[in-house]
Amino acid sequence: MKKLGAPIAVLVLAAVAALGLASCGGGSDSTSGDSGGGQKGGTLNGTYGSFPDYLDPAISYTAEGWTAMADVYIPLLTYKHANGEEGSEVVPGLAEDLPKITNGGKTYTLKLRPGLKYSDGTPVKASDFRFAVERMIQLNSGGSPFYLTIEGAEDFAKTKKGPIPGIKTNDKTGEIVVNLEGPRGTFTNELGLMFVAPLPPDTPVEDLSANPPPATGPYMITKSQPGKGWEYERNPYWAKANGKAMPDYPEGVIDSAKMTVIRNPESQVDDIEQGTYQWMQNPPPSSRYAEVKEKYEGTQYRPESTVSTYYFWMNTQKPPFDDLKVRQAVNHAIDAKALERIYAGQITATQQILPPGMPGYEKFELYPYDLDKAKQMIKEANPSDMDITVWTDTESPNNEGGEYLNEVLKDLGFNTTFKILNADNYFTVIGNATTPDLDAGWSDWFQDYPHPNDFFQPLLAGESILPTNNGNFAKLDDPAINQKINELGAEQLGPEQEEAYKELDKEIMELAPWAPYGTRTLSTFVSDEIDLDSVIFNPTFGHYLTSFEFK
Amino acid sequence: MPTEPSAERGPWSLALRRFLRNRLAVAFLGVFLLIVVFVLAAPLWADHVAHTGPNEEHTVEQITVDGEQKDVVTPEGKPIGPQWFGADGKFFLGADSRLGRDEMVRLMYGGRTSLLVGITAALLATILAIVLGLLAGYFRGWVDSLIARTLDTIWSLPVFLIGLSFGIALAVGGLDLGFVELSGGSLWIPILIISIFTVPYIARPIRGEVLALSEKEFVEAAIAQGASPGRVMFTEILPNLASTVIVFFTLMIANSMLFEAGLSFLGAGVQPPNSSWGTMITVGVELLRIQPLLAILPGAMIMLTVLALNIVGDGLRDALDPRGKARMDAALQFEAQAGAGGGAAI
Repeated sequence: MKKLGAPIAVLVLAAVAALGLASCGGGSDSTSGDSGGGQKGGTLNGTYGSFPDYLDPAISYTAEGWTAMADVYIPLLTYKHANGEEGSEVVPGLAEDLPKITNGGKTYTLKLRPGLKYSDGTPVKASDFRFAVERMIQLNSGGSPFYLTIEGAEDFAKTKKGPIPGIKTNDKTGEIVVNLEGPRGTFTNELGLMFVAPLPPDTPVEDLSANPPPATGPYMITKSQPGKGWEYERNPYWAKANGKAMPDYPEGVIDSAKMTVIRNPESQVDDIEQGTYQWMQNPPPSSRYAEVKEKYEGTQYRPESTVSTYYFWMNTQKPPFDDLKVRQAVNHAIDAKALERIYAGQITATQQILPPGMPGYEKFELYPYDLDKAKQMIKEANPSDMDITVWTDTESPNNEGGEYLNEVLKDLGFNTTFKILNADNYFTVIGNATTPDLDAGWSDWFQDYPHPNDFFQPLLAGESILPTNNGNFAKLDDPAINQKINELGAEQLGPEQEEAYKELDKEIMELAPWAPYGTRTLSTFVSDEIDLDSVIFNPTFGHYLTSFEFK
Repeated sequence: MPTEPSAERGPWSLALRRFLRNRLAVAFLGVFLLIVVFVLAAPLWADHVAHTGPNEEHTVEQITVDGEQKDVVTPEGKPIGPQWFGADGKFFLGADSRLGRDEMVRLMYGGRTSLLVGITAALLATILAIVLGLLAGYFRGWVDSLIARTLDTIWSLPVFLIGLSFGIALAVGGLDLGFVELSGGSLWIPILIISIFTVPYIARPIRGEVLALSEKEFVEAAIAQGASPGRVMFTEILPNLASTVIVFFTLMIANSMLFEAGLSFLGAGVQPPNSSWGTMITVGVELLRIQPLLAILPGAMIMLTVLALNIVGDGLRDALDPRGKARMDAALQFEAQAGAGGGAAI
């Protein structure tokens, strides 16, 4: 619960202190978590609709996980604490500056800030970065494909024996040199992802969701009960060390936070209204969306546009979806208008991989809704296997989205088995190659960083098909597409590359591994105790814990 | 002047007379039969009135209500409310969710599922309980100890929570025992879970009755005549358990339906898109504020069916076994004595 200070005198002191802090701070209010208008301290009681996939920075690859750990594990580079497009800017994190890129885009040189410590008091060393990369690859993280262009990383992924020769570190000077096999235009962005946030070298190489590793950010996770919730306290070494070394990084206003998983979004909304909880990470349920928007927009509620794609995937390596005509037929049978209603207007219909707002996006519609045509195409394709399993998770309205797909496929003549999994482990289960009957299902994707490669490489490149934590659910492994993804990924993004990505978007949709149906609007919804204006929704990490403050 | 039951009347005829004299039980039997007719009429209503199946989605469709076009689901995601006969019976109770399925059709088909699961699970549990109760009560000794302890173990477990865990696990992976393979969405999964976990509730009283009956002269006489244990159990003792079995079976249907509703409500029973009254409550709860009937109607149907079955069960017990309570007490007392002497105490 929020800690209430002694009346008036403390409030006045707090206000004076806050004003003082605001006047001393260099950042503008719109980009800083410490807007300085509210009370310092207090405990934020937040709620998530499901437990994150992992509370381990190396392997978490969901919006929930990244939001939960954004101000806990700081990578060498990070993203600006700002809303919207401004929040897509890469800024130095644990590194002193942005990388120096040499050797034709193949060598990245960074320097660790001096004096950094983990929340357990262990000094942060340059070699911890290499350990973090190796640990992530050893854990078969879904993020590992981003880093396999590091010299020797591919071999390391196969043998799991290090060290990776492409990462050279000097613990005395803090210098980190990363040599890539070839240039990679997105590598700066990827150094800003939590997958490679430095961790102490004695961190066990296993999923640490129940006992998260020591932090480098302003907050540390002190308690985690997978499935139920987790708690934060201030990192004791932030004020002593890291905060001084990273003066631009927001230190946060609240003292602690407690996150509770409440699986009923209706209850979450009620709890926010009653002040039992002060923030819900997931958006209000579709059934309450209009009501919440009408009552609280501008005071407690703010819609947040995202750079995201919601889609149905089809396993291109197994009948019946190994047949292009079948996949194209499914695309024709999906009515994005119906899905807009299922998502109660929180989805804007699209039919392509790249969403609006992403460089390289240009609207096209290859598969206008035509159920009769779809049925005819299925008839012509005459698939050998009509028994399929359709997967989705329990979270509304994704569950209904999955049911919609199930009925569409039934309409097309398939015999479907519908599997609905708990949202906590949905992606873990469907991302595991040993899970049987992975034929088709629901998924979504929010940008990791503002580069179109982020929508192609982890989701549609052959090298991203992993035994666990797989993100290429369609299992698309087309040599020509793989080559284009790799070639474009090597280049720095410019108008020419954007044009090429437009083409790639179309080319892949002609192969129809997915049936994309929309881009999502999310939200910030807080209780009346929280200053809505101070809360930052970053396009990569979502809500920053450091940005919450009590009025 | 009321006539005493004549000597010629058989016990079943007497029981029927006693049951018919219980007006409350008869009335609720009528209610239960009406519910059965209601759910059996599902295909008729779906084909000839609603013109849609239980899982057919109408999200972007419009219907004509009293000459006016209405969205089945509004662009804001609000499903249409009850239209009664305004649209010629279509969406009589409105749409069930943002998927725009006909609530009335799903209520009827959902009832079929709930009753099917309830009756089948109760039947399986009853058959298993009879076999186990007969074996334990007749053979006593280590057979009794083994069965009684197993039943005790199941009884001591948090049955619903374990059923929930099994339900969730099997809903994902299905069940493959080699000789039988069930997909995750199969109705047999909730049926098996319910029946296995409810066996002790019938098996223990049956065991008690068997313990008492096996001391009776007619059983001793059969054994003396050289009847095999199987013959004694199934032709001498079993017929005398009929009244107990019938009463428990009726009550178990109600319990199984409640169990199914609970499992389905929590996502571990009947799997979407199939409807049962339990799953319909789950869907309805989300829209409770804007369409409260969506949760209330299936809830009311469960309540009415369970109430009817319980009252009918009580009526049957009174009719079939007017001294049932005294006999049950005696059976339990006997079982306790046997346990104290033979190591089979419950």
